Amino acid sequence: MEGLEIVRQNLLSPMVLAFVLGAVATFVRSDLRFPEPVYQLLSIYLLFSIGLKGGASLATASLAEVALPALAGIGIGTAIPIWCYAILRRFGGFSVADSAALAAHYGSVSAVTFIAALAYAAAVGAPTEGFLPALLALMEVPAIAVALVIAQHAGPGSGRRSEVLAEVLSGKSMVLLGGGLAIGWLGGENGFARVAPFFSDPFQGVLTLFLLEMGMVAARRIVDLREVGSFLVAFAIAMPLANGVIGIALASAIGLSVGGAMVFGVLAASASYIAAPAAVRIALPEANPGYYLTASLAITFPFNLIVGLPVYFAIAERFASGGAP
Amino acid sequence: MKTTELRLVTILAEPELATRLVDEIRALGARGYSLVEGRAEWQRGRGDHGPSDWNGPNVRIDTVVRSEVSDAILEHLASTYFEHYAVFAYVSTVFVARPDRYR
Repeated sequence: MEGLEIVRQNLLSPMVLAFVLGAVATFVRSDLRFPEPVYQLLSIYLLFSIGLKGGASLATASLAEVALPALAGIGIGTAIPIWCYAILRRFGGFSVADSAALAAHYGSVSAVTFIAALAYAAAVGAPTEGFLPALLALMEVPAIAVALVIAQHAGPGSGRRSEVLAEVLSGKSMVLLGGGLAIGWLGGENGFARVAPFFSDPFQGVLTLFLLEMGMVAARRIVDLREVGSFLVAFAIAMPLANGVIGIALASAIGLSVGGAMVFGVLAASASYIAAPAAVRIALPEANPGYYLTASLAITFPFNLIVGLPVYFAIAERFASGGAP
Repeated sequence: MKTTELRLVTILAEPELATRLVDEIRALGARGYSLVEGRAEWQRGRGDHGPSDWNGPNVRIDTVVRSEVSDAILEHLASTYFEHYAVFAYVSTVFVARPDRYR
């Protein structure tokens, strides 16, 4: 498919359009609001469903098939915060706490971006490896841990870093994703088939509804763009692109399919805005949430969703056809 | 009905802190609490550079305690949270029935 056609198709997908509608609703000060319990329910549904589906696919995959991508995922999740921290400290002039906080966000992953990437791959007819949700679960935590360790070594700080990892591991996204993977794996394909009418068929619709809400959440942060400075705005666009290309290169090197490499690239490119903010808020209270929430939620998330997905897919195709992008 | 004077401590905080705050006020002597989730607009504890305004979810924790406990809770909040977190607290005087419930 032609590059522009792919971008156009993504822009006109119900998911992206719902996201845009949410943003528009906020800009025109609409009274549209998702009640908090509905937002919670939608995110629970998405995380648990993706866990179940991934677990059922894991049941049919061999350990050898999954081991290398898992190692690659943990490896890149550990490495990204290191270079992000260095760039933010050295060139951005951010404090130790702010740099480490941003590094944690960019190293960790966004489940919603990941889910949108799976939906995108399905829409363009690119098959993806079924074990990818397991990588999502594996890649959430290492970056947060690495960033907090960096902060601990680099500055005095006043947070309670030791307690925080336990909190991340018991957080809702890990419980739903990890638990869903375990249940899906134990039940196998047959087990999943029994709940598929609820967890599989309405999935894309629920995702679309969730992205409507995300559009509103992201747009509310856009007013902060003026305050975060042009360096961070550039960082929040360039860093996912760079991390995405590295991720896709790595995934292609270890033999993932085009769709798989694209989704792996999205995992590397995405910035967390649920698990990382909660952890960083407790562990690095001196870091300014205005920076990390605005960067990951108001810039990187929409960028990845609207522009990133087709770009990462095109890059993955280039790698698969044997050439660098 | 005979009533007794006690203190109502109201804490407004970022939702990430809810569990921690509840554990801490109990450790400081509160016998119970009620927690309500809501939305708020406020300023973060820090404001020296970059964005510091915030609007989004918050929690309100109410607890009725003796004045010594109320003082201890406020001192704890001031030393632990006021600098970096959007945490607010105020104390009112209340008259309760069944005062034994709060001791």
